[in-house]
Amino acid sequence: MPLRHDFAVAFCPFILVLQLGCAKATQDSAAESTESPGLIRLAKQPAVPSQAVFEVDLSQALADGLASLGALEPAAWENAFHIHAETADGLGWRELPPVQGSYRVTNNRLVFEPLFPLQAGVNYHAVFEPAKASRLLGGETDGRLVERSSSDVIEATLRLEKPRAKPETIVSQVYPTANLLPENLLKFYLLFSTPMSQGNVYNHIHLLNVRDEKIDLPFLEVDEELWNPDGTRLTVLFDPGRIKRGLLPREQDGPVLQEGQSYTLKIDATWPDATGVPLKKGFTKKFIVTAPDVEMPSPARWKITVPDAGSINPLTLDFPEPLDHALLQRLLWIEDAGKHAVEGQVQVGNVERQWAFVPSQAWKDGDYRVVIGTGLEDLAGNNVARPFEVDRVQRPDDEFIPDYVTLEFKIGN
Amino acid sequence: MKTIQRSLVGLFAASLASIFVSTSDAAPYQKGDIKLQSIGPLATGPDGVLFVSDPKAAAIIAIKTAAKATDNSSGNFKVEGLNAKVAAVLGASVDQVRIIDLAVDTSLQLAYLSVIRGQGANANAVVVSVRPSGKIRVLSLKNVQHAVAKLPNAPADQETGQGRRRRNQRMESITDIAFVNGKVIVAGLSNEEFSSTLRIIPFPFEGSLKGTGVRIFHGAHGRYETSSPIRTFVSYDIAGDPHILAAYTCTPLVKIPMMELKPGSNVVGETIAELGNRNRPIDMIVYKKDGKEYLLMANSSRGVMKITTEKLGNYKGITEKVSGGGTKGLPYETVSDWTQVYQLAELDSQHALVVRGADGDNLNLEAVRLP
Repeated sequence: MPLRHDFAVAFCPFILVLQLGCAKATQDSAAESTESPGLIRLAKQPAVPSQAVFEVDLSQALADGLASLGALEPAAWENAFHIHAETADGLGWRELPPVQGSYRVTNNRLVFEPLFPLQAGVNYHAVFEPAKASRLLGGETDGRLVERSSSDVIEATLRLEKPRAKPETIVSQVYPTANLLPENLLKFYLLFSTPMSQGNVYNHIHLLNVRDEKIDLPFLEVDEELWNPDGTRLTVLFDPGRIKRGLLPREQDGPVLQEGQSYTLKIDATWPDATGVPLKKGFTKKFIVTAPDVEMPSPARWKITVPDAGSINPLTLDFPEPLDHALLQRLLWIEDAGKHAVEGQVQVGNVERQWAFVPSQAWKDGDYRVVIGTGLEDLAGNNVARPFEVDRVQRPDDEFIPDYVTLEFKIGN
Repeated sequence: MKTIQRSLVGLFAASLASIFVSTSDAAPYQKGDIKLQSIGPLATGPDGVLFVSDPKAAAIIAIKTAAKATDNSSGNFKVEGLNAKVAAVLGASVDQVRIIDLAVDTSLQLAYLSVIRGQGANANAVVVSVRPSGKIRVLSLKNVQHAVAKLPNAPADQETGQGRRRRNQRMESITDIAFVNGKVIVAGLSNEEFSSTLRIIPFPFEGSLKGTGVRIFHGAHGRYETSSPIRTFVSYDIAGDPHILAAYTCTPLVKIPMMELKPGSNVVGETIAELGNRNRPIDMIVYKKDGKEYLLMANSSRGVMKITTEKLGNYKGITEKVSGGGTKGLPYETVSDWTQVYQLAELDSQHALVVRGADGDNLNLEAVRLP
């Protein structure tokens, strides 16, 4: 029978709690273990508790022997000292392969360093088999260095407690912010106050009809999930197969959104943030659907308000329709006569119908231009260069499409 | 994800090998650590090369693995509870481990999985190898021979002033990669503009990649044309000419001649099948059975489709409206006993390797005889 030490739980439950990340806990734990040779323990870096290593004490002779072996394949060490993560409730950890990592012998201890930091809340079952450790030394030393019988298998269950965190994360904004949205709306941007968990996002996002019934599969469920680099903004695309004319999905089920109808975008409060804590509250956005928008945004129709020289007043562009919030940040900027981008801050307002640019330094007299990347889209995916859908009967060929177009303006007299 | 897609019309293994040897030997690998910021689809190349996509870094990394051939699986490849076992090796709970893609080195009978462990800033991008025996190991990214191709990201941003604008939130997800005739082909989907760029990267990687993007469009019934991001694709020779068969996010299956994929060009894929609603294509492979070639496509909701390619060469495409429901285009059959297939890759001439749903939340990795 294995000699089982449910160390953290059975022996020192308060240490288990303290092992949350406090330096004292590590020292206490180490001191406790030193008095009980042979126990397996977690040794932690106080600053980074999740980067703990598993240690087991060895007899002097075994430690010397193993230290002299040099590099061994991890698989060889795994025979003697193996750590198993309890990956889910009810799964037999003994049937699962051991955690991968590296081994070393130091200060009469065999140390296992997992390849990745430990996950708080997961039970790690560590098993040390001294007989197998001594067998690593070869046949002639077998038995001589083993102070226990081969049945002296040592086990411990170790765990980093999961901090109990209060839900704080919220949906900070959803774009577009308008409440009147076109039937061929292409996407929502969901913004969160902190990074979110990824992997099952579409389970948490719903579109409800006017009777609060869930609409089946309204969005393009992209396995990759369209997050920004830091995981605080998710792009949710409507299924383009139900927007684009003539395709089977639209033929069979019609467009997702229908003109004149009201809808609610609903985000569940149960959606965990990246630390596993649910949202502080859910989010809903009600909107009414208007006619499809098939017109390209036309910079010629934008109203430009030019500030005075010497001021730091914003230059503003007012659009006749809301434009894509993200692309307004990236595909519009100001250049001076030398084609250098002017430094400053962008503010998008008036339900994404206004773009305001506040310069870092006061405006100087001179010629400027607003540079517009032709990829700038309205809410229906029509961009400055081409509509979302090009009717090739009416428009058989593309003209040359530049990457940018510009609006010239002058500051000063 | 794709393995080396065999050129299925009249290309012999010997000539294929010689092409591959010449390319990979010339690869300007460097030895060092690879630090992945994220991980997406995988593809295998010649001589143990594994292509790993890193969407956040907008990069493709070719790793020259030192993997050795394993015992021939003879279709006995089976790992039950794959997700729990991968989680165990990574020391995490199963709900913190996401399997992103599967690729198989057919010559070594070795499977690779791209995996994300954890969430947020603490997430780790990992590649694991799986042998037919079920042995799972993390692929070491330390001090390995590798080469990196950077994908141009958000070209509009790169050509003008940098300091004024806010941190760039744009990211292009990589939906599929494949190694085809000496080139790495990368399909992407932006989290901002609804555009679709296919990137063609000659391998060995060299020089600037600027301008190698091809914009992909789809024309419905020869009339309405939109940008059309590619969900998954596979290479296929039609009458000796290499093509890619691609499934768009809006579901049509199209064919695109490789010769049209020239830097900076705009390409409209020709619809060869409409696969219907509520369906998301996941993976495709091409295989040969009883002298005929088939395309096998895993889908989110319609099981696995086996599509005959006999008429592909002279198929004129769908140019008329599909009405009355159902599907249209190339004939296909649904393979009814292949259920819950989430990942699909070629294993050998007789078998595919799939990741499929099992009891509860369990996933299995198993070889399945080709239908």
